[in-house]
Amino acid sequence: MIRVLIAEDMHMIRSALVALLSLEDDMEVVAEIERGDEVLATALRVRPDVAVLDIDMPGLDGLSAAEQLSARLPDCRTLVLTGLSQPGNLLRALKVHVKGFIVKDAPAQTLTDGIRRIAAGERVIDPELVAAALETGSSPLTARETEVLRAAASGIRVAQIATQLSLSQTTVRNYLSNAIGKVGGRNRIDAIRISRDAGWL
Amino acid sequence: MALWRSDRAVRLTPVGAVACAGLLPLLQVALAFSYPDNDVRTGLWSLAVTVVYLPLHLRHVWYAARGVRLPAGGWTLAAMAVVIIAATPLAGNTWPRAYAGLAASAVLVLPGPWSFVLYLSLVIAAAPASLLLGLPWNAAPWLTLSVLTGSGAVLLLVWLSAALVRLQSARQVLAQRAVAQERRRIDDDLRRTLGAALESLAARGARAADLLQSPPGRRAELVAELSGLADDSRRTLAEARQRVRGYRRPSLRAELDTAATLLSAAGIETRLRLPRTGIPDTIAPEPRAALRAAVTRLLGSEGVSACTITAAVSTDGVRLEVRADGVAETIDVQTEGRP
Repeated sequence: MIRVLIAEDMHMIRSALVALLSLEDDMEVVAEIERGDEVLATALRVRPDVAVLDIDMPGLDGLSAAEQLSARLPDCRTLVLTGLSQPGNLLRALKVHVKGFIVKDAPAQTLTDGIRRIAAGERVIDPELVAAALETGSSPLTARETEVLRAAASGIRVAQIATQLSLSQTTVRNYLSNAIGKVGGRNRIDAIRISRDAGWL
Repeated sequence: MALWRSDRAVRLTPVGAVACAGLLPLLQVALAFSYPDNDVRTGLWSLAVTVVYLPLHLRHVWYAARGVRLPAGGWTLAAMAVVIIAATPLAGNTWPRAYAGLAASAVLVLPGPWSFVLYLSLVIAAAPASLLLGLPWNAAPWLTLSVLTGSGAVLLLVWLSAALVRLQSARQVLAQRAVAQERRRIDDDLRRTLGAALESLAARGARAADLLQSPPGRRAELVAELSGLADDSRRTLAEARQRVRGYRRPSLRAELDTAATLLSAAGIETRLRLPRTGIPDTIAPEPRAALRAAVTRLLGSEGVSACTITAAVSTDGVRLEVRADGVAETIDVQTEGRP
């Protein structure tokens, strides 16, 4: 029996996923949660074999939750459900040892098969997502530029970013300017939009 | 370079031509006040006549510099000629320098041979006219040279500006044509592929609707039709995504770099070996699909630890070899665009 944890913030979709997996003879849904920051604590308590995580959740995004799971509960394999709109997320998912990366609108059979294969030790990556990631390309931003742009995306001012990241305001401006140039944005807002769409933030 | 590529620079060139064309007559007015044998009277005449003819001259330059046909150009040139020539006995012995503006306007307004005849006549007439007005004989050649260079500078600027404007408009036409061609190609492509698929979906939907009206005994048939419809819809959606991605055509180099990054992130130590001579810019849909399938397969394989992607240039294009743990797969990429 494969013990499955489901983390999805949209109630209707979460219920549908639970109902779908409950129909499978070899699967048991041991926990269903709606916030990303509850994933680790719940997983440590119920010890699932596979955690099915939505990529966008309140509290903590699915990939960060997967990173925490990988560090604290390596035996639990993660499968992330995502949209096609942010192909750059695949790279981040692979880096945090996500074992499955499936698009949300895939047939139900793909999800159940994916959970079985992941539980058996395989890696399941949707070919559509690989194609989209190859299409978009890897992020042109350095780790620091990504960090600064992500901070800017949260709406805080340059002075606050500088304090938060222990940098001078000039350095923050330089990083932002480099990031805007590298992603081909017209301004900071445009660069944040492009990077978000590509999944680089 | 960026300045000259910008549209703003092209928009400013006619203004530059007009500014230059306006500056030379003002210099002439200054001379009419200060040159030997000239006085306030000649200076005032020069100023008054310049105020009358200069707007006409600048109008000629403005239209020509933008490559636009000048309405009633012949009449305004005639008016300008009458004003300038009539002022010759009154505006001082350096006034024939103003023939430079008239000569330039003649070339800009009149057609073919007549414009050159008038131009040369004015340039040649400037020196004798000045001599008759009392200009020293040794100053006459300089006056002729001044008329030649003054009119030449204006004409050169106008020609340059008009050429830039024409170049910009040609570039816009080419860009519009390229966009129209691409739209047509995408339209044909969508009609041929997705259009047919959508028609088939509509037909299946209609058949399913018919089956709904039929007796309950045909329920199995209806279920089969509906599940077929769902499969077809999914296939069409996947095909639509592939098509949309196909229109973007990323470079082969970028695709290989990203493939190496993804594989490395998945824990597969990946090396990329590219020829020094470079690789084609673009990749055709078939080898691209093969490369993506190979990357997807490698990402899905848990046991693979190392991978080398080698690109070797051949006569027909490039041969890619994806070698993972001793197992190699080759993909031939036909040349679409050389680097």
